[in-house]
Amino acid sequence: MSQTAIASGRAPVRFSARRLFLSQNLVTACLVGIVAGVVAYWIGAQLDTTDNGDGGILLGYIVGAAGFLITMGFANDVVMRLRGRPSASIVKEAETKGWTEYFGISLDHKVVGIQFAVGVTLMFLLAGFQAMMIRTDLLYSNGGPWPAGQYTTLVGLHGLLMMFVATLILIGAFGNYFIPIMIGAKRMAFPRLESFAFWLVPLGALILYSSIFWGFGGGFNTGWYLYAPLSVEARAGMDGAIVGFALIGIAASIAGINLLATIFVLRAPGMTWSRLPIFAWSIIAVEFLSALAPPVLATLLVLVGMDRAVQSSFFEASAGGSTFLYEEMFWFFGHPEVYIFVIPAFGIVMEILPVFARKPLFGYRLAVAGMLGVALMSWFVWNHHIFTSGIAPGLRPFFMTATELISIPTGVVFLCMLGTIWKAPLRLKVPCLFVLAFFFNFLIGGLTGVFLSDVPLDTTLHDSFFVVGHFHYTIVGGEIFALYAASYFWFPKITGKMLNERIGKIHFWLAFITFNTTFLPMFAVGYLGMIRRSPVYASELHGLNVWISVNAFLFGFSNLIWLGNIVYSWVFVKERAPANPWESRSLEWQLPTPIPSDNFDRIPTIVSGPYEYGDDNAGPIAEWPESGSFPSPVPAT
Amino acid sequence: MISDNPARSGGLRPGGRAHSPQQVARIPLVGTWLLIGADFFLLLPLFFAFFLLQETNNNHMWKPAGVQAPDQALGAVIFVLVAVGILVAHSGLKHLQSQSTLAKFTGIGRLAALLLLAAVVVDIWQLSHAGFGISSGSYPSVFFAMWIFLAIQVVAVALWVLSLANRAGYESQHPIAMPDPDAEVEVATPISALAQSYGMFAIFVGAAVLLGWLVTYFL
Repeated sequence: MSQTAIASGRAPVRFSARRLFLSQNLVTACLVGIVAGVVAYWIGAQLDTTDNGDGGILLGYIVGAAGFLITMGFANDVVMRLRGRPSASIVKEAETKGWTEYFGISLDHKVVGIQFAVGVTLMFLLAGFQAMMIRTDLLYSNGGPWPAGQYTTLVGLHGLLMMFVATLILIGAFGNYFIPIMIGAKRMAFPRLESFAFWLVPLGALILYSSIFWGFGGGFNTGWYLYAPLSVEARAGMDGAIVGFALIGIAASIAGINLLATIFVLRAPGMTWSRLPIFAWSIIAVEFLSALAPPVLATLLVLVGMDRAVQSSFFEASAGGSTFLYEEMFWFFGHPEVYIFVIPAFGIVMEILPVFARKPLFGYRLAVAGMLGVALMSWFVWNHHIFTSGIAPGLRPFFMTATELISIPTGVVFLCMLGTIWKAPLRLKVPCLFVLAFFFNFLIGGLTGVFLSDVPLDTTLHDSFFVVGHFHYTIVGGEIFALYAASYFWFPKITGKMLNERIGKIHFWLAFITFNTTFLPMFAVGYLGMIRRSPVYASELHGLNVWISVNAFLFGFSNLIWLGNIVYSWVFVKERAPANPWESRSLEWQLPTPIPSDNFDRIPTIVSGPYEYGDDNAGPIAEWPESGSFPSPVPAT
Repeated sequence: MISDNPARSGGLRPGGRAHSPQQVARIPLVGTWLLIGADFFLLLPLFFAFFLLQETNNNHMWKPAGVQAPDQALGAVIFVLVAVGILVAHSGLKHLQSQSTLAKFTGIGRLAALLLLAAVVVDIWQLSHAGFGISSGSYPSVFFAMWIFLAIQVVAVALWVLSLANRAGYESQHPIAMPDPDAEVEVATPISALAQSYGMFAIFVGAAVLLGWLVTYFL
């Protein structure tokens, strides 16, 4: 076997105007991307024989995106490989460059994790602000401040952007940052692809947002599903939604392949499958979905783009197409997507619970089986989204039963969580409080999902606010509350500072109460007949909608408290956090803070599981080749 | 217990300052299996579209009057060029196992890439002489989309084998020694592992082209 090793030295970084405008960096990438996009748009418009101009717009977006990525430097390694040159050593390149590395290609998974955390949180704020605009509109029963067309665009932008957030906030931020460390790896399997996946995200979000600038009123009127044929016939803003959504899908798929390969190949010696942290197991379960489902979406969006730009006939029935083609394929992607949101939340909750319960994770193997079962079964339930779309009646019982059956592995995971806190001396710190709130919220979200899987009930409640309530209970009440918990739990490891406990508790109580007072009444208004994506509703429901809106504003405000806490604790608090404030046994907490760029000086040998709390005989989780360079093992009780 | 024998411990190196060469070599293999899975789902909607739209035949626009599948021989030429290109490359992969025979793959790999790119040229010619336009009905739409997607796959395989050929040529002239077992630098991915990954992906793409030809020309 021929082997190659190459070390790459790195010159110190200096700044100059010449370097800023002539080298590959974010500034030149933006400039080249914009210029390339505009030129391609102009050329496409000249070649486009149709009167809608979609060919030029789509070409402009695609060429602009390619120009941005190439100028960022993502083609360098590809060209080098095409020329037959071996790639440079990855670990050496991952050495820190200072704050500038957060604005370029970084091969350090921790930098990319923070890039994801900051970038996706900004998107979360933006999408949350749009939710406030939606609720402002719904303060009026007969149409609020925004015209109906803009209202539907607002709903679509909020939905799509939150899809991006929900897909990537846990996987992108915490998955990329912590998974290599938790499994004892020095790096990700494909660090360049990891960075590539990140930079697709702001690019996709910007392209999505550019949709509002196409013509008066701009935007797109399809909601986040982009259902055909509406998406084929929609105005020019739809092109931005198509390209933006496709880029995020590609990013999710790349991130999935990367994280799976990392866990499969780069585990430290002794990190057996039964010692793998439960968060890593949740990433395995979810990344099989994340790697495989978004490519279906990407192809589907290409077909929509073809229908728009070159008048192909995939979705227009009069031209031989079928709307079922879109609906079936979209939900074949779309339902696994829902579990892409929530399975990492399971992992985070089960990662945090034993630390605060000081008990081993109850039913570790069952929990793993449950998460894998949920992931597997999520491929067989998609038709429950289109019960009312005229599917063959004979299909309904199968998909109804399959959907109801998926509650079994979900219930197993839930029981493992409950078993962990059963009679446990719980330490009610902020991360633990959010985990307990997750229980409450997700239980409601899950049970209402069982209701909706039932064909007669679904036929009645389809497209109503009941569905909105169910969805937000699972995704916001489940995933976003797990995000809050994770942020309080891992913040000291990432920054070396503790998030303020008092402010954290204010955040918790305000968020928990107002979340429930916002979304619980949605079940009622939905049951009473209020349909979603409409700015007009029956006047009898006005009082309830005002109540929902006011509480939604308060819930939105609770998120500002969270962000204020992050900024305050990170920037203004000088006191350093203890090395292991929660007394966790997990591998990441045994490393110094900040974690070295290549994580471990020498790869440790894992000698016991991460959840052996309460066992006085439990030894340390790992043997370190050079003892003394890391903190002492954590006490078991 | 962790075995000190790298073969028995799956190539894991306790206490190493870098990941072991065995681990580094496994990365592209595992990555390629996952890539094949993702690629399968990328192509799936096209085959689904073919069968669904053929079955529904909305407004009798699946194959409207005047629309027929192009000459089957043309599709056969594309498939044969792809298959021969892949076989040629496979016949030379064994040369990548040894430093002394690396150079032999340079010419073989470039020939394989040429055959694969020739298949793409025939594909483009086929699309421009299909006898129908992309908007002539749903069969033409699926046909165009299918063969554009497949052409992109074949180009990817051609570039991959070309990179292997160039790497073989480079390494045959610049043999690079293995680093010290306790070195801080990691080995670059060995060419033999990249070749094995290429082989898996190429077979998958070859099968997709075969399936695409059978479906779009014969059904």
